[in-house]
This record gives sequence, structure tokens and C-alpha cells, in this order.
Amino acid sequence: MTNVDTMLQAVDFIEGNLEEPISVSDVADAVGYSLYHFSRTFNAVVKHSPYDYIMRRRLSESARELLTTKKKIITIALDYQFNNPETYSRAFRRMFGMQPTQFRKGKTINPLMFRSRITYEQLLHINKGDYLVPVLVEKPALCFAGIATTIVSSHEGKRELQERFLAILDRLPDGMRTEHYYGISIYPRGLDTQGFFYMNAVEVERLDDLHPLLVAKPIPPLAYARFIHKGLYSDVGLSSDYIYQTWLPKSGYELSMPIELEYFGPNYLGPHDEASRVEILIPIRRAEQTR
Amino acid sequence: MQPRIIESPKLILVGMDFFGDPCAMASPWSEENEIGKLWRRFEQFLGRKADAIKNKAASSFGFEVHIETDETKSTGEREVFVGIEVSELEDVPLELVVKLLPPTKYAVFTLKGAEITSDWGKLIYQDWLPQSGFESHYSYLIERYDERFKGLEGKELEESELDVLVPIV
Repeated sequence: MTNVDTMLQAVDFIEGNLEEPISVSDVADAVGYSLYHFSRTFNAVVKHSPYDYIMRRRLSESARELLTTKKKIITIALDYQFNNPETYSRAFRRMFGMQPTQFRKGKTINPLMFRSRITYEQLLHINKGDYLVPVLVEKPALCFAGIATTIVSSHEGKRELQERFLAILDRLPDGMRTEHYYGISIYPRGLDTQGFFYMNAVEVERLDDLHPLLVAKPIPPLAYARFIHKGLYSDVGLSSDYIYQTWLPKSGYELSMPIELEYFGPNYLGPHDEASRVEILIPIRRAEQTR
Repeated sequence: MQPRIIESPKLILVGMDFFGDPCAMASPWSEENEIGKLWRRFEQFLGRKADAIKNKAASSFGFEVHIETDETKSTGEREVFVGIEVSELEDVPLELVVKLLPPTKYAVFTLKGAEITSDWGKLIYQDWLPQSGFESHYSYLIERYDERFKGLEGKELEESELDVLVPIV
């Protein structure tokens, strides 16, 4: 049994008991670890403290029930082991920035903020090395030129666009020719089931001679957290899940704009190369103190 | 894992304190956990102002005390104190706090190499303690570091020894 296997058992135990009064100590018992060793291992492997993970999973599931059931809010609160509706509201607000009542009345939560059940693939991915430790970078105003599409199912759509883009990359006008390019995702309504806008592009200095086949997108000066996704490009979602569901909530930052940049730079070796690296940049600012 | 049993007088420690989940990463920008961070802070203080600590004990142990209660068991949190021993309290520096540990018997386990990062808590409390004829006395334990401890990585870990002291009665 590796640590990842055992922590997956712990995650399974937690999932089976989201609506039961379990303590972190009970989870440690369930996998046969002492409390301290369990806490140390869980933090190291899952990158959440056990208590944080349990609370985020309870809140995420409770939010789902707010939308999909007609249960009273107090019932949902008690089901998910909150002592009373006030405690539940405070915790809900801390995670999602709004009250459960507001959410039920139709205010939308950016789906990136939910904590989904962590999977075996995610655990393996985030334990590959410290590629996902971010660096804070500042970028001036950027201008991109390329081709764009609206994507519903994320990976297939990205791959198709990338193929079209690579086919025209050689034929770009002189000033734009480069081997390195970007993938830009824009979530105009927050990421929701309506899909998102995705663009493959190169950075350009000026817009005035934009080729008629291309579209351009200017982006203001921003601070970004830059991560490295290492591995198959089809696994890039595993890196995103970690960034938005694990890193961002405890970073003290929030998204400053609903966009994400991928940079296919000199270390990008193609979609099927395990050693390939893609930079992922998300624009951030200090989170407002809602807690 | 067989311990030796010692009688200890009251221990007076001065150092620094943390309460929370000590294994959570200290910040999203670093891979060091709260205990490592606490030791760094304490060592930096010692580097700057070691003389400010009066009546240092002859022993050169570094103490890491873990304190758990029923309440903290539900969240995985605990208090962690790191510090050194003094023979008497006098003019404790503003940056430091004091921890007094009662006179008690301790079971002393010497962990070697990979044992240090293994789940020794389980071996002690679930395997050794029930058949030992002793009971746990207070809900804390001490990790006592000295020059036999080299580090937590690779070869350094292999050559390291660490004493864990469990209060018993």
C-alpha cells in the first residue's frame, strides 16, 4: 500500500460519511494510522488538511442539494453536520462568498470554486513533483492574435482548435512567426455549462496590421500565479483542478479576471510527451477579507 | 520497539508555540509545514539573541512538545511547542513563551532512521502501551532532538536518531 492508496481509502471513508458526525480522528482510525501520522500524510498527499477537505466536501455537496432538492436549509445544514443554520451560513459564505439563501434564489457560484471528490488520478498527478508550486509574475498589457472558438466539452475542443492553429502557424505574417504560442480561456459568465471562449494565439506588438483571418484580444497589465503542468496535455485538467480547488482557496488570493493563459513555450514537447511542460497563468489579486 | 523508563523532574522550557494543523503547508508559496516554520523562527531567534535566555540547562536538547485534547482530535489540530530547557525562570524574552511540564515517568523510545518518519504514534499508543502495564498520563508527548538527529531526508535520515518521550503512570 502506498501513501496515495491509503489516502484514497481515507477519502472514500470521508465520502461515505459526509452526513455522519465523523471526526478527523475517526478517519485516521479507519485507515489504521495514528492521528498525527494521518494528518501529516493526508496534508502531504492530498494538499488539504483533513479537516479542510471534509468541510469543503460537505459544503460542496450541501450546495448541490440546495439546487437539486427542495429540502429546508436547516435540514441540509444538520444533515451535513453543522450545529445550526448560522454556523452553516458562515461556513458557506467563507467558501463561496454568499449565503445559502442567495445561492438557492439563483445567484451563481463559479463552478471552479466547488471542491469535487478527489480522484486517484488527481492524487497521482499532484504528487509527481513540485511543478505545481506557483511563482508570482507581473505582466504588462499583452495583445494576442490568433483563432478562437467556443468550447463546451473542454479537451476535445481545445485539441481541434490547436490542430487548426498549428496548421496556420507557418503561414502567419513575418512579424508574428514563432514556435511558441498561447492558449487563452475566457469565462465570461464564470465557467458554467454554457462553455467558454478559447483562443490559440501568439503575442503581437501592434494590432493595426491584423491579418483578416485572425482575431485579436488585448489583455490589461495583470499579476499572475504561474504554474507548470508537466505531462500529457490531455491531463491538463488535473493541474487545473488542483489550482482552482486546492491552491486558490488557501492562497489568500482570488481571481482578478475570468481568464486563464496557457503558454506552449520552449519546454512544450507536444501533447503526447510525458516530459512536456505547459505554463498555466491565472490572474490573481489579494482576496477581500470575508472571513 | 522497547522503551526505557525514566523519572523526570519538572521541566521548564522556553520557546515558541503554534496551534492548528501543524502539517498544513505554511503558505502556498512554500513546501515547509508549520512545525518546520516554527523551528526556523526559533532558530533565528537563537541566532540573534541566544544570550537573552537566562539559566540555560546543561543539556543541549531541542524539545518539540505535541499537546492534544479531545476537542482537537475532531479537527486534527494540536498545540506544538518548540523550545529549550532552563533551570530557572528569569527575564523571559518578549518573543518567547514558557511551557512547564510536570514531574512524571516517561517511556523513552529511541527512533532510528526511517522509523522517524514512520507511524510510530500507532506503534506506541496502539501496540506498546496496552500491553505495557502502564497508562498514558498526560495528553502530550515530547520529541527530543539532539546532535544524533541529522535531518529528515535521504542519508541524513538514515543516520539520525530521535527520542520520543511519552508520559506514563
